[in-house]
Amino acid sequence: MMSWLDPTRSILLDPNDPDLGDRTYHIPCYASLDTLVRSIERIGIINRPLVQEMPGGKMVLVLGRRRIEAARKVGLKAVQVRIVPREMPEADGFLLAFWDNIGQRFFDVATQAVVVRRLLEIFQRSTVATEFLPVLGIAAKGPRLESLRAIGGLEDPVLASLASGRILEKTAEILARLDRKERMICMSLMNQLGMNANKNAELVVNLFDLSVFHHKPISKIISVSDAVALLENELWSAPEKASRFRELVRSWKFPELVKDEKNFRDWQRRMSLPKQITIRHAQSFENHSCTIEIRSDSRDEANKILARLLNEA
Amino acid sequence: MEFSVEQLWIDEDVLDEPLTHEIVAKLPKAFIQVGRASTEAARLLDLEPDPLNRGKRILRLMKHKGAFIKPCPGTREYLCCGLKILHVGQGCPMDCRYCALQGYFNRPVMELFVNIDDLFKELDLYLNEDHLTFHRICTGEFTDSLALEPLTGMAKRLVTFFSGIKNASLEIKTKTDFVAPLLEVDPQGRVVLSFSVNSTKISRNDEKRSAPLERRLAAAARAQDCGYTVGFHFDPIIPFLGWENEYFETIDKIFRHLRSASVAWISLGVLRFVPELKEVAEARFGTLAYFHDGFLRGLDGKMRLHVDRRIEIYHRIAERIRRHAPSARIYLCMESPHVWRESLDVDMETNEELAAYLDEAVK
Repeated sequence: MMSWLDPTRSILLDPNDPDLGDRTYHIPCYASLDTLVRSIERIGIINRPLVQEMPGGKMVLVLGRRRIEAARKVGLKAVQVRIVPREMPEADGFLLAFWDNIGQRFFDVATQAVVVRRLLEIFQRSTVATEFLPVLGIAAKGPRLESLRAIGGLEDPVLASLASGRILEKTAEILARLDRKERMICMSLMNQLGMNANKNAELVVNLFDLSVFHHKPISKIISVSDAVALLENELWSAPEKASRFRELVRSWKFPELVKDEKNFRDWQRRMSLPKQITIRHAQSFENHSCTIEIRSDSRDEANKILARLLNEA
Repeated sequence: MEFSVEQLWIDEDVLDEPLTHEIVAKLPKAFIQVGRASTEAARLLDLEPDPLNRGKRILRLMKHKGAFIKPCPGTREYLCCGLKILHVGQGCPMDCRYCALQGYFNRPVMELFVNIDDLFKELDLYLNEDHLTFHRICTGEFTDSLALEPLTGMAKRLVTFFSGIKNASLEIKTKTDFVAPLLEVDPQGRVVLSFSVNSTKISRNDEKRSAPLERRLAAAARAQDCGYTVGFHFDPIIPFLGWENEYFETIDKIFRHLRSASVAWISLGVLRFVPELKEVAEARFGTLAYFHDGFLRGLDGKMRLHVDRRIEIYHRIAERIRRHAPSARIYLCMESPHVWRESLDVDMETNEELAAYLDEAVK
């Protein structure tokens, strides 16, 4: 690859000039800009961003998108940048962006997804597999690569949620399988309920499963009166609302299991068990067996309890 | 109906095997790669979005260096029938969307073990070493027993071998109708020719490249007329909307075509799968609605429908079967004594009891 960095020249650029929405060489970073803004306020931009001048004079960012964005926030009128020749092919420009970024920071899964998607657009699959996936820590075999490619096409707010850990990768994978409207409904629901990433995942997986199995959009599934009344109830706290909603959706997905769980809880309550004793049912109520757990404060006490049980058995 | 094999990958240490020569002679148009060349081809195949898709037209001929006879990979937490697997190869040219093999192997091509002298030596030793025990042995666990029969002639060789054995039976399990070569051999009551069956809807939509149900049943009838006992495996049973009538229809067809007296057994198994299979299958085929039913983790970690639903399904299907064949030997695959009792009204408490129940059909 020709070193496009050799023949660069420096110019002063108005930071408001480049289109920050241009994705040609975009390697996203979802971290807050605040620290970089403060840094630039104090000491300016040390490493000059790299831009490519396109036909018509449009400037496309190759490296330093966040520096330019921070410069705008600081209110800088001009920034020193380097320009690479317009003849630089898109593939080479993306390689510059990729190798510069990967050398400096860890790619969260949202960034990996966007990068994988872009790499598969630009390069042959076999090239991506041999040159890039090992460095990204992604296996070439199996369904994950295609799943990441799909996730990489999601909207920025969804990717930002993934990057921040508010949603898990498996939630993003499901969201990628929905149309935009359904996806935004799920995002809005998760924001409203304020649950953690694992509970969000369970909720989205269950809603998606119900939607697929019953051939109904999620919007229709959650528009039943029980669900609407629950979400609109102003008496419950957010966690209470979230817990009840989650349980409602579970009851739609696993009606027999939820009924078994209720019956088991009712039975336990009637038993009024002492604190040291717990009883667990068989996994998924596969059979009628139970496991009784007795906690003792010492081995001596355990011996006494065992002796009693064995005598009574 | 024969399956297309476009490439033959031959390991160097089986170049001189007689079966290798036979297969090469039968595939004059196949592109052949030997030794290292196939290793590189395998690496490139792995990089494709769906290696299995092309892998089902590639056959690797290799030596099996481990044991040919293994216990069926059942599950400790549920009853197992003690079936032994004769490992003749793995992979299959058909492409059932629910197939567990998609998530089971990490090599996407079909593999055939051509060192069959070693196979027959091991079989001989195994059966003679423990001649007091009756062994039920099957070839259709990691592959379809007959899918490559036109190419390999393996099943016919095995039927010939087993026809002379007193303390074992062979089960051949298939979704094809490639029974013709077997009908030239008298199985002497030692072979069960089994057909995996399903509702017409599942068979048509989800069992790509398999023989249509009617052809399987016709093949079963021909086999029966030539002295074979036959078996049927309703596995996986998939309870989509309207499932009952469709499965009843299949059951009714079976007994229109076959005499119940020579049906050795009918097994039932509601769809269950390792959690990873859903992702693998849907990556290959897109969303499959039945994987999104209310599946829960069973005792063995596999995803299963709630036990009460399974009991209901088995009960209804068994009832329909018994309408045609009151004394049909029905068994459940990988279920608990609780499910046996509630669905079939049968007390089946141990693996040994289940093994004996099935052994009776073939001894």
